Amino acid sequence: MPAVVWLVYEWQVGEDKRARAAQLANDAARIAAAKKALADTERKLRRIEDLTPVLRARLPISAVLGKIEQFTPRDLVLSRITIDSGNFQPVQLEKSLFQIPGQIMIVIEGEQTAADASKSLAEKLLQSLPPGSKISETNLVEGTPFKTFRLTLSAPANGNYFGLGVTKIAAENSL
Amino acid sequence: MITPYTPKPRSAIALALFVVAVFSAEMFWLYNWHISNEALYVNNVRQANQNYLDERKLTQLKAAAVRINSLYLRLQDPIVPARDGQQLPSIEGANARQNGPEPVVIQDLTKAGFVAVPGTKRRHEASVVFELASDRLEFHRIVPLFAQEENSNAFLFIDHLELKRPATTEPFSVHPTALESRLKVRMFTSATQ
Repeated sequence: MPAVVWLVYEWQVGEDKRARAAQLANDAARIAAAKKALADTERKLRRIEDLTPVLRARLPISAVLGKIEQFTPRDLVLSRITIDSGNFQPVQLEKSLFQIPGQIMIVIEGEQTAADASKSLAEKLLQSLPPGSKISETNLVEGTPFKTFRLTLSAPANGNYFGLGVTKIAAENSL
Repeated sequence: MITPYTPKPRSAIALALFVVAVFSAEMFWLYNWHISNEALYVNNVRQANQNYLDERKLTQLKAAAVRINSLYLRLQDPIVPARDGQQLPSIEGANARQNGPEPVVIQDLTKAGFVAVPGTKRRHEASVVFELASDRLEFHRIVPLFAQEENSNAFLFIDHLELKRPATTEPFSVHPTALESRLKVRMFTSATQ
């Protein structure tokens, strides 16, 4: 008698599970068909993901220049701005190679009338540059009628450029 | 005392053994059935999880399809075709803007007042390099120009930039000052799609 009860129970359970398996297989087939229709979008997404290291490594120079312009006090004038990329690393993109910079070196030279104008510029600029940026060198030479200065900053090209006012490339308003 | 009508003990034992054997076989068969049902249950759980993940991915992909296509077009459109004997097939196909022999960015910078010459690219790199110079542009014109070009081409790298006030211009001059601008730009060219 218990064996018969068990038999009936297992039979019912087996039927339920087979029915569930068939339903899941149908769902899987439906999803696969829908996925096939979006294969091109998926391929494009993979391509975008492949390009991400290159996009992250590009520190927008125009944004840096814009911040320099924005933060330059009235008692300071610039005579030279030099920006150089460095610490290049090769990135493999499918069959091609591309060198991406790991660091940006910014050198600002100019004249000032106030004593701490260049210091103020450096500090404000440092707050806008990517985290990990630093002031590498500050050089102030007394002179008449202007003091000349040379300011060197280094910034990592790490993809965090929000301080420069840059939005994500995929943000809706940037498309 | 054993009567002629009493079943023989050997027959009883054999019958008992037969019943036990049948019962054991039945139990074994039911147990195997139970195991196969359990395996089916586990498979169903796995398949349900996989379907859930696939369905979620599909929903996200559908929701982001327009943005993905727009971003792809925006990224692919300005990519410079490989040139100068490079054995790299172009990836852009119909999307490429090939207005001339030079990339659009360089054409724009040239129109704005820069003089451009092709530079030397690194070995084995999928890129084009240009060196540009201008003595005609003020700072307030250079910044939006670079912003426009950097926005239009996500793969434009300004590897070197030098903006210098001419020696003839005094500090704190109130007159518009055209800067001595020198830059080296590099653009990614993709080999395959």
